[in-house]
Amino acid sequence: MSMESTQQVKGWRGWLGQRFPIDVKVYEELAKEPVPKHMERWWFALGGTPLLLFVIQGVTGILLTWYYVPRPEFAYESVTRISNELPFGWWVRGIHQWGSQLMIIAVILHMLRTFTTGAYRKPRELNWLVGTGLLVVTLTFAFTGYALVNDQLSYWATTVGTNMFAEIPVVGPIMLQMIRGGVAVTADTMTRLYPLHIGALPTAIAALIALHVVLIRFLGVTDLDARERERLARLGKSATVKGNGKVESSHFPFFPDHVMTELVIGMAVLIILVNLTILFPPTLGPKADPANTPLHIKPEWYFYPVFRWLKLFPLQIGLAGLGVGVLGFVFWPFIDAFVERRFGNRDINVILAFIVAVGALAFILWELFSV
Amino acid sequence: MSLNIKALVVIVLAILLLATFTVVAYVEGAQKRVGAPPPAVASAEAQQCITCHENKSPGIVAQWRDSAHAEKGVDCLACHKVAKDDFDYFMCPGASIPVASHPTPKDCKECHEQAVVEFSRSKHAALNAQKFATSPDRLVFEPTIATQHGCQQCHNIGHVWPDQSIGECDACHAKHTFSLQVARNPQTCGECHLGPDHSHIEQWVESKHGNIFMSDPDNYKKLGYKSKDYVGKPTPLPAPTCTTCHMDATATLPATHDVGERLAWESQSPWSTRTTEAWGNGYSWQEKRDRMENACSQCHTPNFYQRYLLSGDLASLQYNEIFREGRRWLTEMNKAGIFKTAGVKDNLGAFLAFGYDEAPEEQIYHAWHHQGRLFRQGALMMAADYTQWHGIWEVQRSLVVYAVSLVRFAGHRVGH
Amino acid sequence: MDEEKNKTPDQAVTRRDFLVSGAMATSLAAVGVVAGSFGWQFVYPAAAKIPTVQVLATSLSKLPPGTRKVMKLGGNEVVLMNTNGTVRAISTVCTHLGCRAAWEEGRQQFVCPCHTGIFDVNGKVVSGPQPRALDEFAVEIKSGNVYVAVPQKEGAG
Repeated sequence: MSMESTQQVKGWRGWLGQRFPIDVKVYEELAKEPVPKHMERWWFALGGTPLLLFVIQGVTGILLTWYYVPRPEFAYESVTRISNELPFGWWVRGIHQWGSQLMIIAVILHMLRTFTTGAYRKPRELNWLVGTGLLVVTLTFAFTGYALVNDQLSYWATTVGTNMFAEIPVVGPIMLQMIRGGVAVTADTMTRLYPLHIGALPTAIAALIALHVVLIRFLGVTDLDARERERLARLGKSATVKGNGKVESSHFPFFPDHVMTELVIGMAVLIILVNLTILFPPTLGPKADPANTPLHIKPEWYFYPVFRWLKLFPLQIGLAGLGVGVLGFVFWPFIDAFVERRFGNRDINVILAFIVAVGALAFILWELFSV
Repeated sequence: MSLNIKALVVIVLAILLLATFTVVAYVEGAQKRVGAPPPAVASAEAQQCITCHENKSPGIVAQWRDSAHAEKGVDCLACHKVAKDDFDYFMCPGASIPVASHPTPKDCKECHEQAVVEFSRSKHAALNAQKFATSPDRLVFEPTIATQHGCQQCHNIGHVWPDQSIGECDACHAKHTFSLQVARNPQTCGECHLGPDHSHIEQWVESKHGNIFMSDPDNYKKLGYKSKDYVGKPTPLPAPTCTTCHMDATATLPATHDVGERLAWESQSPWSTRTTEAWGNGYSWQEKRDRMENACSQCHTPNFYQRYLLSGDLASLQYNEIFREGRRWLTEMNKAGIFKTAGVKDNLGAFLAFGYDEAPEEQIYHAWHHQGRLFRQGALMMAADYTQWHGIWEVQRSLVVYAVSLVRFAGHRVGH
Repeated sequence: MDEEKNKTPDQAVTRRDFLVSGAMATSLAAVGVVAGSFGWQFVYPAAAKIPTVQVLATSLSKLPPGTRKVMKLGGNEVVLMNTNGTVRAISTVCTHLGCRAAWEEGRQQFVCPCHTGIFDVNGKVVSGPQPRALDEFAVEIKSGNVYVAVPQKEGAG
């Protein structure tokens, strides 16, 4: 549509159209863009969940900033106040705490799907990179989040977590001091992590999500692997679908069909989230005590694999292993392409995903049941 | 799944989520919250009291709400319950609920038995008005109009009630919060233990103990702890208040409401005496001294506190020697028939006839009842200036004034 | 150099353009670097360099051979031990990732609860992922008094 036709519209739409000349129709078209039939399956509709949870974290997070005080003298007390005194404080904090856990699960499930179905392959390698960036930002969110509570776990997790930076060659010690704002974890550490948690990280995650979505729209959703189509055909499942127009098609519109699928999943996630806050209200350990590391101290479950890994190997080897693992994970699309060119293997991702998932699960269980 | 089915699923899930929200609201309602009125633990009758008194005397309802009593469901009628023939039977005109207008230690005893038993044998309990009225002090001064707002205010602590229970618990445990933080506050003891004849609060303020305690105002907030939570543990205060040494538990000593249980000296009476027989708790003075030393030992070494207390002992004995001289001259005067004196341990009759009516008698009374106490008690409670200038110096000065007035008096009498 | 000789008027303008843009970029970069270095110094922790101070810990008579003392010296938890007349001061900060490896009298070991690092009575690694023995502080004995040189930490426990 041209500017002229916009000008012909009467009433408030015309008025607004002249002053904010965007073409609504184009966006409607974009929203209705057809997506392949396999997107109907729940497994392929997990990408919207982290987005939903991010919005929830944003809202509850802003609410919490109205009462939280990021100084060691007040942090623990203000969290106690939020949890015990303020109307619905336990609930808002519970949603934020459980929301972070569910967000990590959601990101991992979405990545597991992307990984096993090979959706990161050419030309979508960059979007995989953005995705790994989103995972790292999400985990940093979680880490800085529980550092702010200032209970014993906060303090010692922050000490251990930041100490890892010291082992990075050359710049490590400088980075450590920059993050901590001093030699040890002090009041200045909290005032460095707080703006990170409520300012820098939200900005980063919003930018990465935007990039992620834009790339999906540019490149389109991955079509199924030819072999996957064959498998579906063998099972008697058609690769086509009855769309809104009742016409047999291999594609269906993103809006409203796919959005409805996301909505169903989103509602289910909300119900799980709210029930978790009721069954397991947010917890608060003893106040931070720099003089005593409590026995049986453990990070949150999603750091268990790293935690157990560091117990198993000498420090530098352990951290180097972690570094290699992270780099391999981030640049996986290129490694995968290399393996395929060299060995013609297209299933290595499935095998690797299986090994890593089972390994991580085993580490989590091992840590869970060890004293 | 067709779009319509999906829409239906979303509707069902939304209803489910709403149902979950009602659980959230329920949990929110059940949360115990500081500042909000405690949950409805009051009985239906007590609720009637609360509803009405919330307008008539909102202060007492608010105090009760802040109390541990409210938290545990001890409501108005738990203490103010009454039988038809009780001395304080009162029919509340607003609600036709019979209430006890003044709960007594007998009521408190139902839950706090040990505290009431200990209190009943204590020196506080021995202060009741009857005994007080017959004591030598009473006849020296004041017209009775002053007693209601004067002496009775403090001596009520040992009141004997018609139900034979003794004491006024809220003298220290101020109603209706009955807060431990108030009870342990040195100023609570200082309501009575102050002034020219027993400057205990001033002595504490002067002492290193008081100075350290008061240097951090936050210490006052720590006074609300429960003794029973600190059995076998050191006291949670950086410096002692009155109760820390005289009443509170130590790691190896139980807390007590018998305030004389750790006192080896009777330092208030005209003569310093050991407390073996005093105040009816049946312990020897050595046992009482052991208890006090136990309290000292929380912060001090035996070397320090034993020497300190020995000096206090000697001060108490030194006072006796000075006072003995004054008494000797009164007896001589009596024998010579220059004037009649009631003597120290004489009965009421003797006082009515010959009380402290001559100037030398008044002088020697002052040397004992005011200055002699400050001297002895200051020496036992780390108060240097009360031992020295308000104490021994004043005692000796009184003795000189006494001697001069004695000579004048005798000369005057003999001259006629 | 040949090109310079054969330059056309057009190319001369291009070259000038290049120089101007280059100079502009350089000046902007200089502004950025200087301002950035100010910013860096603002956020770089003031206490990054920790002075070492020698503190009087105890006297030899109070630390006879075979005994041990756990004490706080200038914000550092230190285990002082006298082994046959040799006094050593061992830091309890775990060399793995900085938790506190508390001295356990019962098992005669330093135990760090974070990643189960265990050190023996001399601070040597027994088991666990830690890279090296516990740090030791220099001890000096002057006229019967034990002085320990410790980093002076602010605000740290």
